[in-house]
Amino acid sequence: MPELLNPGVIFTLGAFVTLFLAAGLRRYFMLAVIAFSATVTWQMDLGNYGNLQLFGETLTVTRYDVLSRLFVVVFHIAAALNVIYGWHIKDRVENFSALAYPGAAMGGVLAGDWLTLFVWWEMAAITSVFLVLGPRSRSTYMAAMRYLAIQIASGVLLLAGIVLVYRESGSLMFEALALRNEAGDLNFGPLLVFIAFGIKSAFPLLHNWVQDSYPKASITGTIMLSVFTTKLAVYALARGFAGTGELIWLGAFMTLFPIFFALIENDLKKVLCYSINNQVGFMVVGIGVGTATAVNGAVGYAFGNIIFESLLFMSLGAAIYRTGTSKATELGGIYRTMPLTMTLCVVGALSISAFPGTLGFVTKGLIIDGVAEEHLMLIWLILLFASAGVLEHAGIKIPFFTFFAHDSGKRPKEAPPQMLIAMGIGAVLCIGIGLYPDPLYALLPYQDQIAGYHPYTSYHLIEQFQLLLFAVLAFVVLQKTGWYPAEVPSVNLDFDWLYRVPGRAFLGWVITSVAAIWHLVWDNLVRFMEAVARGLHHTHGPEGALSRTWPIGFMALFTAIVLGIMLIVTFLI
Amino acid sequence: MIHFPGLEHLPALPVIIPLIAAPFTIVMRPGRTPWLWATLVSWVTFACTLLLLEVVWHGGPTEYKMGGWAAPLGITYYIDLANALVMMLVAAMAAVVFPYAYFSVKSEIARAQSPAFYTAMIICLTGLLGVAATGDAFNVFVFLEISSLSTYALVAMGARRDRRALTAAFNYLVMGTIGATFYVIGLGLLYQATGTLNMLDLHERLAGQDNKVVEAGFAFIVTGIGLKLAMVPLHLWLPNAYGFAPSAVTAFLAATATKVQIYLMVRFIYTVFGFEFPFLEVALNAFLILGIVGMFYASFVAVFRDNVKQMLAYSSVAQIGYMLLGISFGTVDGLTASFVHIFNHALIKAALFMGVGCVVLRIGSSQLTAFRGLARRMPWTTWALVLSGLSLIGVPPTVGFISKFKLMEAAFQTTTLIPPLLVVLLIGASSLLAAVYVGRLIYTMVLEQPPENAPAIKEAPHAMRVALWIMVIANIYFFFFTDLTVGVATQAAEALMCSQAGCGGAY
Amino acid sequence: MWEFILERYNYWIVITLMMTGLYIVFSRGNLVKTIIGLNVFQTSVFIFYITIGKIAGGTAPILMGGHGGGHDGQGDHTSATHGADAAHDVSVKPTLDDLRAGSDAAEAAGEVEAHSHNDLAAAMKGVEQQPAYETQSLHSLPDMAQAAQGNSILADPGEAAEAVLTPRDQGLHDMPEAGLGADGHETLGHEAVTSVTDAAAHAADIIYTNPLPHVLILTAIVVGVATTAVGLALAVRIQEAYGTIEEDELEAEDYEAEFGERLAGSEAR
Repeated sequence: MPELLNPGVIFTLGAFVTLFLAAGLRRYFMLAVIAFSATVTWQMDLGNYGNLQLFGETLTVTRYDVLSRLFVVVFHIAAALNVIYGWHIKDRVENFSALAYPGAAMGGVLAGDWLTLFVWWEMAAITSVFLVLGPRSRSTYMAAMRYLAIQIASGVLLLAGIVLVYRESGSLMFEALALRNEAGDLNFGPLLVFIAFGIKSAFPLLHNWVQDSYPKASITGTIMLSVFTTKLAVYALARGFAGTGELIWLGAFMTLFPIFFALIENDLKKVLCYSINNQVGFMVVGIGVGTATAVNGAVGYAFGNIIFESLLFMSLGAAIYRTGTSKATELGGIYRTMPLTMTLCVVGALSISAFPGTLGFVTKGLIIDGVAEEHLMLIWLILLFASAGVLEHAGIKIPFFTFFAHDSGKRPKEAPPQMLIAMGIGAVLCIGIGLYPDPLYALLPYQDQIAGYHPYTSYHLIEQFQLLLFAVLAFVVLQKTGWYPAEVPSVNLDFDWLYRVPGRAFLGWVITSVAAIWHLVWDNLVRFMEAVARGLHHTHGPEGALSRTWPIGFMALFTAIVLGIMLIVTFLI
Repeated sequence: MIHFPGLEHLPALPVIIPLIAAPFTIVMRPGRTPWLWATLVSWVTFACTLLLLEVVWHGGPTEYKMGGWAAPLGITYYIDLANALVMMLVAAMAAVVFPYAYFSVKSEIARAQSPAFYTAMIICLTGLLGVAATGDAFNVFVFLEISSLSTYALVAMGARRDRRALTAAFNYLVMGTIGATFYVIGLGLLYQATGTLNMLDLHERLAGQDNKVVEAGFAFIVTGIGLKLAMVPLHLWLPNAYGFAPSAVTAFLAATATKVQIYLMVRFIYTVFGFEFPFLEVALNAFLILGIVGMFYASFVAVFRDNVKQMLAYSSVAQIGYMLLGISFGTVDGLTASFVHIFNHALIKAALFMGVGCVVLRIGSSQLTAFRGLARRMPWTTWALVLSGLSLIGVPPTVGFISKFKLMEAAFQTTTLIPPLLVVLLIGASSLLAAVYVGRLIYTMVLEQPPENAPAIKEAPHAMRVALWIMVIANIYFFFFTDLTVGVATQAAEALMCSQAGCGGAY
Repeated sequence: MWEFILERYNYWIVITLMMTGLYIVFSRGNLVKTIIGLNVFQTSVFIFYITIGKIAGGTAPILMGGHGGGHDGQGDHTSATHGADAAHDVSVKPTLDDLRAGSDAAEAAGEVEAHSHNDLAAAMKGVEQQPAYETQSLHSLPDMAQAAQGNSILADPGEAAEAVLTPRDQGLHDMPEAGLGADGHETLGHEAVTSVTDAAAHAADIIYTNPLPHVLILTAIVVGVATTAVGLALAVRIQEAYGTIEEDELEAEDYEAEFGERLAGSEAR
C-alpha cells in the first residue's frame, strides 16, 4: 500500500524495526529513516492520499496541504536534531520513542479525517509516555501514569466529540468546527473536541501535566516532549478552531500566567516547561484571531518555537549532562569551561526573545501584527507585556543562571560533539532564517498575505528594540537592587519584605498565594485520590469483600435474592 | 454454489458432527490421537458453520426440522444471522484453541486423562453450538446442561496444577445448576401459560399476556440466564472457574461460553418476549444499571488482582457489562454494538488467555511476578499479549476500538434512565480502568527486569504461537475489514428488532 | 379459603420442596449435603412439570382402546403415529373428533392435545366433569385463556392439518422405520383410520394426561442425575485432594494457599 506511506507511517514502521536492531546500528538507521521520510515528503505533491474505506466512510490517511506541510517539515527537522543530539543514547525504548513519537505527531498532522487523527492522537500519547518513563524510577512511573491518564482522557474526550460531530455533520473529514451555533450557544460535540485539543495544548488549568511530567524525563526525552505534543495540538486547533474568539483570551492568559511561575521557579527545566505554556499561548492567540496574517504568524511561530525552544532545552540539557543538576542554585559560572554551549544558548535566548535578526523576530511579529490589524488593543498590550516576560524568564534567566550568575565552582567539560552539532544546526537555523526569512514565508499557508510582509521595517525594529531594551533594563535594575527573585531553593514568604519592599512583596504574595491555592487544591486532590484508591483496594483488592471467594451457600442465597427482587419488581410494575 | 449431498442438513451439522465425534474420542489411545481428532472435528465444524453463515447471509434464515417433525411438535432449528454469527464464532474459537491446546494440555493434564479431556471439550462445543442453533426453548436447556456439565469437568481438570480448581468447579456446578433450574422453572411457567416450547410460538402466544404466571416466568428466565452469563451480582462463580481451569479451557470458555449466554438472553428478550412485552423496560433498565456497575466493580477488582488469569477473568465480567449495556439500549445500534462486542471480545480474550497459557507452560505460574521482564524471555508471547491488551483497552487499530466506538455511538442515540452523555463518559472511564490493569501487565512485561536468577526459557511451541498470533492478527484484521462483524451484526440486529415492528416473523 | 389452599396442594408441595432444597444449599457446609439439597431443589421442579401436565381423572399417556389389542407397545406407538398422519393425509373428512383422537394417538402431540382433552372432557362429561377440570388447572385463569386459544387453533382443522402435513408427508417417506412404499402408506392409512375411529369411540371414556411435560421431565431427570453424579465425583476428588469436604475448612485452606502464595511472592520481590 504505497498510497498509505506517509512520514507518520514510515517513522512508526521504522520505530518498530529499531526495536530489533543492535544498539550501534540503531542511530544510523534512525537517521536513514528520517532521511527516507524526508525524501518521500519532498516528492509528494499537495493533495489527499491513502483513502481507506471503513464503516462505509472514507478515511483520508494523508492530507498534505499548505498547513500540514509546514508542520511536517519542522517535525522532520526536530526529529533529526533530536537523533543527532542523542547520538550517545543506547536505550532501546528511548530510541523507539525517538522515531515513533514524532511519527505519531506527523501522522496526526497529516490526518485528513477525525478517526485517523484520533488514532495518531492516542499513538502520540502512548509513544511519548515511554519518554516520561525513561529513567524508570518510582516517581517517574507515577508521573508517567498521570501523564498517560491525562493524555488518554484527552483521547476519550476527542472520541466522544468526534462521535457527536459525526452524528451532526455526517462527515468524518477533519475540517473547521464551529464552537458556537448561530444563536451563540455552545455546540456540545465541538466543545468536547475543543477541550481535548485544549488538554494537549495545555490550556490554563489544564496545563499542569506539562510541568509535572516533562522535567521527569531524561534530557533528550524532555527535548523531544517539548516539541511534539503541544505543537500537534496547536496544529489541530489551527485546523479545527481558527478564528474562535474564546481562543484569544485563553491564549492571552496562557502567555501571562506562566511568567510568574517561571520567575520564581528554581528548577531551570521547569522554567522552560513554563515557557512552553507561554509560547503556545502566543500561537493560540494567533489562531484565535483567525485572520490570514495571524494564522500565518501562529503556525510560523510554531515552526520557529520548535527550533529555538529545543535549542534552549538542548543547551540546558548539555549543562545538565555535564553537571548533573538543573537547579539554578547549583548551576552558574560554567561559561568558563563551556563557552560554545553558552554561545549557542544565548542565540536561542535571543531568538525566543524575538531579537531582530533571529527566527523569533520574523515570526512573532506576524502574530502581533495580526492582533493589531484587528484592533485588539488590550490583547496587543498583553502580548507585548508577555514578550517582555519571555525575555525575563527564558531569554535572560536561562542563560544567566545556567552559565553566569554566582560561580558554582563547577568546571565541567565542553558539551560532547554530537550535542554541539545539533545545537549548532539549531542556531544556524535561528539566525539564518532570521536574516533570510523568505524560505520560511514560502511555507506559510496564506501566501497572499505574506507577499507584502517585511519584518525588517523601521516600525517593527523600533517596537521590538524598545521592548527589549526596557525588559533588559528591568532585569538589570531588579538584579542590581536585589529585587529579582533570587535563585533560592524554594519560595518562602518573608514578612519583612512587606515593609521593606512593598511592591516586590506584593508580587511575591500574589505569586505565592496563587501557588499556595493551587498546591492546596492539587495536594488535596492527590490526597483524596489516594484515599479513594486505598478504599478501593480495601474493598476490591484480593482480600477485599468484593473480590473474595464466597461460600457456595452465600452465592446461592445471593441468586435467590436477585430472583426475589426481579419477581417483586416485575410484579409491582 | 456447489451442491453437496446432505447440504439440506447443514443447519444441524455443526451440532451433530461433534456430538457423534465425542464418544469416539474417549476410547482413543491417550496422547496425540485424541488431540488430532478433536482438531479435525473442530475444523470440520468450523467449515460447516462458515458455510451456514454464508447460506444464511445470502439466502436468508433457514429452518431445519429435527427428524422431519414440524414446529409445534418437533424440535426445530431456526438459523438466522444472529445464530449463524454466534455459531461461527464458537466454532472458530474451537478451531483455533483446539490446535493450541496440545502442549498446554500435555503439561497441565495427566496423559491418561487426555481422551477424557478432549471428549469433554468436544461435548462442550456441541452444547454451545446447540444452544445457539436450536429454536426450541427446552432444547436450549438440554444443550445448556450438556455444555455446562462438560465445563464443570473441564474446570476440575485444572486440579493437577492447583487443587483449588476442584472447589471452583464445585461452586460453578452448584451455581450453574441453580441457574439452569431457574431457567427450567421459568420455562415451565411459560409453558403453562402458552402450551408451547417453540420460541416463535411462544412469542406469538405471549403477545398481550401479562399475568402473574408470565411475569414470574420472565423473572426466573432472566435470572437463570443472568447467572449463566455472569451478570454482575451473579458472577461470583466465574473468576475462580476461569482462574483455575487449564489454560486451553479458559481460553475456549472465555471466548465462547458467556457469549452464547448473551446471545440466548438477546433471543429471549427480543424474540420470545418481544418489545410489546410490558416488563421488558424493567429488564432493560436492570441491564443498564447492572452493566455499568459490572463495568466498574469488576474493573476495579481486576486492577488489584495479582493473578493474571483472575485479572482477565474479572475483566471478562466487566466486558459482559458492555454487552449488557448494548442490549439495554433497546435499539438496533445497541444490539449491533453488543453483537460486535461479543465477536470482538471473543477474539481479544482468546488471544489474551492463550498468551497467558504460553507463559504458564514455560514459567509455570500466572502470577504477575512471573511476567516480569517477559519481553526479553518470550518476545513473541509478550508482544501478542501487548497487542491484544491494547485491543482490550480499545486502542486503534484493533477490534476493541470498533466495539467501543459502536457502543458509544449507540449510547448517544438512546434515551435511557441515565443521560446518554454520561453513559458515554462512563464507558470511557471504564476503558481507562482497563488501561490501568492492562498497563500494569504491559509495564511488568516490557519495562521491568527479569528476576536475577531466572532460568533461560524457550519461547512457546510453534503450534501455540501460531494459534496465538492468528488471534492477534484477527484482532487487527477485523478493525480494517468490518463487513463480517459490523455488517452481519447490523443485519442480525435489524432482523431481531424488526420482528418487534411486525416485519413478519422473528427470523 | 381452605378450598383455595387445598385445591392447590401440588403447588404447596412444589414450593415446600423447592425451599427445602434451596435452604439446604444455603445453609449446609458439607459438599455432599449441598449436592443433595440441589437434588431436592431439582426434584421440586420435576414435580412442578408433572403436575402441570396432569389432568384429573386422566391416565398415563399410554394409548388404550380397541386398536391396541393386536399390537405390542412399540407397534402400537408406530402405527398410531402414522395413523394420525395418514388420517390427515388421506383427509377422510376429518371431523374435529377424528382430528383430536388422531393427535391423541400421536404421542408427541403436545399442547394441542392437552387442550383438546380439556375440551373433550368438558364436552363429553358435561357439567359434572367441570370441577375436575377446574382442579387440574389450578392456575385457572391462564389455562382458560389457553384452552380458548387451543380451541381457536383447532377450529380450523383443515389449516392445522395442512400445516402439519406438508412437511410431515415428506418425513413419512424418509422415515426409515416406516419402510413403506406409497402403497403401504395407503393401506396403513386406511388401517389407521379405522383405529383412529376406534380410538375416537373410546376417547370419551379415557382421558390422557398431557404427555409432553413427562417427556421433558424425563430429559430433565437425566440431566439432574448427571449433575448429581458430576457433583458427587467432584466431592470425592475434593476429599482426596484436601482431606475434607466441609466448606469452611476448604475455605480456610484456600485462603491460606492464596495469601501464603502472595506473601511469598512479595518477599521475592
